[in-house]
Amino acid sequence: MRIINLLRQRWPYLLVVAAAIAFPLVVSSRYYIQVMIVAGIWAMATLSLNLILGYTGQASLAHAGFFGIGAYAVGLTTKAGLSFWLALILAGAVAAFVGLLIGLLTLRSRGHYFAISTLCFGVIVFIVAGTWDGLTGGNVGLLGIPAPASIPFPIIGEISFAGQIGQYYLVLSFLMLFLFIMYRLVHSLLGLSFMAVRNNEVLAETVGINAFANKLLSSVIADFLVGVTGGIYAVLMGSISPTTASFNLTFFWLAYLIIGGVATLAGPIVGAVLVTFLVEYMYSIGEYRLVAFGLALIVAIIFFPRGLVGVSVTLRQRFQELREKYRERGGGAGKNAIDGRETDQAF
Amino acid sequence: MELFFQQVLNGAMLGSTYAMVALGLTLVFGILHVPNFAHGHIYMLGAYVTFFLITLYGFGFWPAVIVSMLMLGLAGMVIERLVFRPLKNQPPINMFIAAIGLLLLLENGVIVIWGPGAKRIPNPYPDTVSFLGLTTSQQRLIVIVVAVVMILLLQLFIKKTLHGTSIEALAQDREGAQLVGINVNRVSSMTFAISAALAAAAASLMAPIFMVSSTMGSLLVMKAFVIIILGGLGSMQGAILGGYMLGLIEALGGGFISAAYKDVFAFGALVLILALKPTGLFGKEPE
Amino acid sequence: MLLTAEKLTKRFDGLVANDCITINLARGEILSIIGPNGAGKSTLFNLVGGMFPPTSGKVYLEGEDVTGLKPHSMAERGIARTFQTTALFDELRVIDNLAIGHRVRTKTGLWDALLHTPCWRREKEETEVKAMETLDFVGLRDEVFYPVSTLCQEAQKRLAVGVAMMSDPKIILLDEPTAGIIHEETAGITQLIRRLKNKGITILLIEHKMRMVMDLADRIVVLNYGEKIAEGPPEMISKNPAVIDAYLGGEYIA
Repeated sequence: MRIINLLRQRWPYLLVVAAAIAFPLVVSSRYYIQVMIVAGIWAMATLSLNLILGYTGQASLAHAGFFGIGAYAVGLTTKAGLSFWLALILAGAVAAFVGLLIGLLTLRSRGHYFAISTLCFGVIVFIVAGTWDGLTGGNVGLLGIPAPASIPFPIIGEISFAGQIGQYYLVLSFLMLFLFIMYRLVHSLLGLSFMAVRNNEVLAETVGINAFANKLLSSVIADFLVGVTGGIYAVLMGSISPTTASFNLTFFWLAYLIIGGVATLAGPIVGAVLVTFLVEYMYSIGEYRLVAFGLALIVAIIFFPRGLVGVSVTLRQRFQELREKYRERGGGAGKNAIDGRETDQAF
Repeated sequence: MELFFQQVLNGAMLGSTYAMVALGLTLVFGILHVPNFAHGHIYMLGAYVTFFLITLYGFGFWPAVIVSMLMLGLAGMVIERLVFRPLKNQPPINMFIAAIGLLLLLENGVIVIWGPGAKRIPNPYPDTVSFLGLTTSQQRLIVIVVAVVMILLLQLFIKKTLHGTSIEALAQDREGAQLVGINVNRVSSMTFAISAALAAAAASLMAPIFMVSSTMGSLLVMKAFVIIILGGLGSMQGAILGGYMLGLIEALGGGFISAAYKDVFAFGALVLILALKPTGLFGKEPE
Repeated sequence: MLLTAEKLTKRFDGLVANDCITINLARGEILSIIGPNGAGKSTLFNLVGGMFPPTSGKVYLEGEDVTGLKPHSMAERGIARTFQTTALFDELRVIDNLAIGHRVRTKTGLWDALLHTPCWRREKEETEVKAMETLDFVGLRDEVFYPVSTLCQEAQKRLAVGVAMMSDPKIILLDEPTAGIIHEETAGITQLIRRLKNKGITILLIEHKMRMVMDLADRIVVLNYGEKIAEGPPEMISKNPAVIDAYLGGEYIA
């Protein structure tokens, strides 16, 4: 019964997932699969950014710094021989721990001050990555990061991550995992606490929610996730450099998030994939690509401040409202979808 | 000892740049509440325009600087009108995003127009100057002198002219200023123009010493934000003082402690200071 | 004595908002604080609720010194409040607001959320059931899934009371619960407050509508210029010359 219900309500999502799984089997261009892999990584980074920024309302701009920390952690440990999977957990843990310390330092500030403080931390990571030659290889970075060892798998024999197809499914699996984590978080009392802090921090405190602790928890979780993402990036790219921790990355993810739709589950993914593909697609116009991107960003934020998914949520709401008007007000319960959460399942 | 004074001079020169850029930023961010992250790229554009005028049109150095200031002033007004004014009722993060879009546009736009390599502007004052047993290049002194002059002129403008005082009025009380008939849009335009012109001047002065490249403003804008937050949002004295202090700290720290990590001083200081005083050195907690 | 505010003083840069005010709140009573605008009523609420610490003085809750504790700690200990300008989580729905109100009594954390532990299940159920009960109590059952922004002013005020109730508070501080509501609709809120009292909740009430105050309050405290100028049952207060002079006006009839 529940499976049938699930299929009926969520079939568009299931379709997208099926398409994503089929993608590398159907598409033969190595180039496009590579773009999708990178888009997938950016989508993961944007998902975790959404947790702090979209759902908890804190404009943390240090995200690429933690991405870099995760990347270097995995890069260094796997080159030293540690298994990829252990290295990945370590990367997340290190990023989370640093995130805890930085959070303690920065979260007492609000708004602009908090944003600049976190941005400065991100820049420090970037500079240190480029300067601490002994550890990070300086501006040259780390080269020759080994791909994860193959995993034995029934029927096929083994899944190899040295090849593109294996890499694609690695990213897709983690993306699905992150999405699952976000979904569970958002549909829980914990996620609700985050949203309360975002909506009205003073009121949240008044009703007993420790805003500082929640902000800290949300950023530590997000830092763990993006640290893991950085680790995956490191092994898939094979080499990393200080630009892996560059604040420019944070800005791009922020752009994907806003374009896709803040505080929605699908938004970050839509934004990341769409923009990455668009920018690649514009390869034909060559160097004007990023100029066009910058321009498009300005136009998008002026005319679509709620992002693509936000717009679609609004459209869907309008549609529902129209349907309500021509239907009897039976039980009185509306079927609005706010923040990507369906009405019939509260929290 | 000689090294110390050299570094002090370097610090003063660097500080002059920081002060001018921070001044422009505090006008726009502190007073108009626009988080213009593209400010560093407006600075960069100023240098490119100067370069362009000198190499392509054979302008002399000073005429090029002045025209560059005028052109960037104009650009500032266009940016205010087209990019930031439509967003004034939206949450500040949206203006931040727009600034990022602008940043990308400018950074890649100059690469498209002038190519990716760094450019060099011929040094108009290549000679050195000796005094009190110290030697330094003329250009460095020029930077300091011109910067001080411009800052003083700006202060006079703000305090003594009607247009200038309207900026102060807006800074103190936006609604009140509107109620007494001050045209907020016009003041915003003018503030952006001044901010951009200052940045253009700073960049053009520095360009003969350092190179002109598309990323010359990226780190600078962040240091400017650090300066104005520590100096007090909207405080012009804070921006100037903070700018010179940072210049000195970087030059002395870079010269005597560690050249590689000199950039970290500013950013580390900010994180620590905000950790201790969450609203900045001079900020007040909104009730 | 459930709550004691002892010689509370709050100074803001030279302005003395509260001057040496002592209030004793007995369990189960409705104590109303009245006084002209600017008398320091909201400041007193803020001090009791932990918004900011007093310049001097102490607050005791059930004998425990809670002076200067943060608002969320006060909420944990059983002090809930509403605000003069209706404060709700306006980006969320009615049910979400109520759930957040109950959050302080739940322990669901990261692992509970991710793994759907029995704790997650239990607290979700508990919150839903309690939310429905509260909605019935404040009369907003039909609006359970509506976004808060679609509710009218008066409904929002009832919701705010509901949110305050969700944390099982010992005391609710009601700050002008009928501010901006027309006279005809205040009866609904008055009823609601009386039903709160019947439930055993102690209430501290700031109000300007005198008839409502006289009806509801067991005792009244009168503030003027930051000082307490009178205290006692309604009949006594309505006849107190100092009070009439400062606040009620000569034409007031008890």
